[in-house]
This record gives sequence, C-alpha cells and structure tokens, in this order.
Amino acid sequence: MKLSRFDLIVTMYRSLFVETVWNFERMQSVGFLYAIIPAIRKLYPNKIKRISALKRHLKPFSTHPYMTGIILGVILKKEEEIACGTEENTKVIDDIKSNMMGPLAALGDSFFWSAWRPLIALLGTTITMLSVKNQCSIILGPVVFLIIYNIPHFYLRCIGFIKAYNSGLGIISTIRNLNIQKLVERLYLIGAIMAGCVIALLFSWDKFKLLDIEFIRNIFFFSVILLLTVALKFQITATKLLYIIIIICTISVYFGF
Amino acid sequence: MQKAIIVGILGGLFNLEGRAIGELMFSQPLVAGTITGWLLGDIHTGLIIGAILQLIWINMLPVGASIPPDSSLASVLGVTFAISLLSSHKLPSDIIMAYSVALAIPLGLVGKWMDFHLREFNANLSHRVSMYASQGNTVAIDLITGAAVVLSFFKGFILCFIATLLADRILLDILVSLPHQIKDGLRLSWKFFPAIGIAVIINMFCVKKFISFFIGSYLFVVILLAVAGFSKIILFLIVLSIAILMAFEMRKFQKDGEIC
Repeated sequence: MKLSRFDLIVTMYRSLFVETVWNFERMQSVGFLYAIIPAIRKLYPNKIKRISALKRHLKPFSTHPYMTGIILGVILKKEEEIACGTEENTKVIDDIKSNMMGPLAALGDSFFWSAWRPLIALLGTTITMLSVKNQCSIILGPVVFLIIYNIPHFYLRCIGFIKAYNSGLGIISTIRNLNIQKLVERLYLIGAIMAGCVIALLFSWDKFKLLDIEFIRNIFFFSVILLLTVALKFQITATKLLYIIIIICTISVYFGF
Repeated sequence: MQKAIIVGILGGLFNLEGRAIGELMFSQPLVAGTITGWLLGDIHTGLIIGAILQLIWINMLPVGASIPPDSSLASVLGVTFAISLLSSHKLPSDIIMAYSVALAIPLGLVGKWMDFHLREFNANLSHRVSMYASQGNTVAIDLITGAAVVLSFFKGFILCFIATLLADRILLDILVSLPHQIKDGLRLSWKFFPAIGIAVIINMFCVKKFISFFIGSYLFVVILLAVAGFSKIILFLIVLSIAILMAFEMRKFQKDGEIC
C-alpha cells in the first residue's frame, strides 16, 4: 500500500492544525495525530491494526510548529514501511519522534522565533515609519513583512515535508549539516546594523549645526533611548517602562515642565 | 453593536491564526493593526498603533510551553479604541493614541490569561481523543479538533466583543473627564513610545560582539544624512544591502568561515 500524492497534500494541509489542541499534558500530540489520520485510514484498513497505529501517536509530542512537516514526512515513510511489512519493529516510530522533536524545536525556536521574526518585524516597522506619510505606499511595511517572513516558513512546511518523505531518515544528516547557529548570528549582525540605521533615521539632523534646538532634542532622545536600554537590561519589561514613562510625563506636566 | 461584532470576528480569526492554525503571522500587531484599521476605515491609525505594539512586544517569543502576551488581540482592540475615539471626539490624535495603547496592553495580558485556561481545558479534549483512538474512531478525533478550533475562535471573539461594547460607553467619558495634566502627560509620553520600541530592539540585537557595528551604522547614516543630504529611503536601502553583504561575506573576517 502506497500513499498517493493527494494523501500527501491532505496531510500537509492538516499539519497546519498542529497547535490546535495544545495542552500542558501532551502538547501537540493531538495535532500530530489529526495530521496523520488520513494516512492511517488509508494504510490500515484492518480495524485492530488501525487502533494500534492510532495509539502509537498518543504520547506527548512538542516541537516547533513549522518543523512538524519534516517529522511528519519521515513518520509517513516509516508508517508506509510498517504497513507493507518491510519494517517489523513498531517502536521505531516512537524513537524517531522523540529523537527528532527536541533538536528540531531548538532549531526552529532559535532561528524563527528569536532571529527571523524579530528581524523581519524590524524591517516591516522601519518601512512603515518611512512610508506612512505617503498615501500610495502606506501598506508596504506589512506586505513586505508577510511575504519575506513566509518564504522560509513555506519552504519548510511544503518542500521540507516532501523532501523528508522522499528521503526518509536521510533528512537528519541534511539538517545536521545546516549551521543554524552561525546563520542566527549573521541575522543578529544585520539586526544590529539596522537598529543603528533606524535611530539615525528617526532622530536625524537635516542640517548639521551644534547647539541648535534640534541638536539638543536629538541628543536628549538619544540619551533617553540609552537609559531605556539600560533599564531593559535590568529586567524591567517594555510594558512596565511604557507606564513609567506615562507617569513621569504626567508628573512633569503637573509641575509645569 | 455592528462594530463590536466585526471586531469580535476579527479578533477570533486573528486568535485562530496566531495560536491554532498555520501561523502565517497575520496575527502580528503590525499586520493585525493594519487590517483592523482598514476594516474600520482608518489605515493610518491602525498602522501606527500596530507598529508601536510590534516594537514593544518584538521579543515576546512563544518558546516551548511559554505563552506570550496576546499581542494580536491587544493591537485589534487598541486600533478599535483609537478609531472610535478619533471619530467621536475632537481631541488631539496624540492623546487618543497614547490612551488607547495604554489601555490595550492590559487587555493583551487578559488574553494571555484566557489562553492559559484554554490550554488547561484542552487537556480534557486530549483525554477524549485518547479514548476515541482506542476505539478506532477517527471521525470523532476530527470533530474534537474542530471543537478546539471553535473554542479558540470564541476566546478571541468574546474578549474583543465585550471590550469593544464596553469601550463605546465608558472609555470616552473617562478620557473627557481626565484632568488636563494627565492629558498633556499622555500627549508628551506619545513622543517617547517609539523610543521604547527602539530600546527593545537595541536590547535584543546589539549583543556585545556587534555593538561596534551598531555605532558604526548610526554614525554612517547620521553623517550621510547631515552632510550629503541623501533621501531617507535610499539611505535605508543602502544600509540594508551593506548589512546583508557584511553578514554573508563575514567569513572573510573569520578564521573558521563556512557557508551556511
């Protein structure tokens, strides 16, 4: 019994729902089961075998949502082999899942959550700041954010899934050869350079004159930003800082500043 | 009432998108605020409030089992408040925007609290799923996932619907009755909100290693703007391309250079 292309597409579509029944006991296990159900229905027409296949996927499962495609691909390949009878040991499914989910979650968290999304969000907000006054390019920022952000996302979801299905366990060595740590560092470098650029663009001199009012205002804002950065380093969250600023402003207005 | 239903549906959809299905990041404040603003007829306000909230919450990451503040619902509600206040009252827009952002942030925390309880409730659904799995009933598992989708939608819907309904009656009266010192304080503090966002970005990206790059790019842009009179957009594109080139050609500066 082999899975058709249609089954693969249905599974890919269902893998979007992986975080739906997220709970603290078994995390995304229901979502993973939901994604793999069409394949199980097709591979195991026999009810007893189907039940044991469903039960295999009830253990706790948690990974980065974008990485489920890769794990699903590998698991589908293995389930196929089990259904054909070439693979006897059903415990191998469990081992693959528990060995892949941790490293892939770490990979996805460090690339997507802590580097890629902030960087592209910074890009989007910067474009918004630059283009908000212009009526024609007003939504350029959000559009750029969505498009650029989703390129690696869809690459992993779709092409990663197909590649994992075709190459089975061979995908693991491909992933190991990716040097994500270095890539994340490079994204951080781009972020640092862009942060400097953004400050300069927001609080900029049009004409360079010492001790001009504009000059003093810019120096003031720059020192406020440095002060806020130091405050953030001491674990005061940004939302708290926002309310502290409102209170300070109100007090200074009250005393006629 | 009609507006409350629209905002509720929007909030529900964004909650679904961000917490359950797909995660294409339509639910990030920058996009969610813009779409809300577009539907309520004022893209400009939506964009600005979305961008501010995006910057403030840029480092709130859903790593592992941690739940970040619900930035999408906060931005939907912040934009809704701002637009309804702007249309019904003749106050300066600075005051109204600062007021709506300050009100929307606690609602994001309420959303986080609701999310926590929803995820605790999901444990019951998960028990049901294991029961049906041992009976081999796959249709029931599909239905339970559908039920979880509906629950997630209603979490966003209820929060946005109630907040918008209440906001229409109460918020305006509170804002008008505030003493003028607080109003002026809000107006003054609005100028500092982008500064908070930039501080968050510096805190996030400028690790010790890259601080010289940060200062270098700041001086580069300042000097080019002041002396050579470049336009801001062109300058931004130049800096961006230099940054990308430096990041991916950096192996020239490193001993153990290898391509990702």
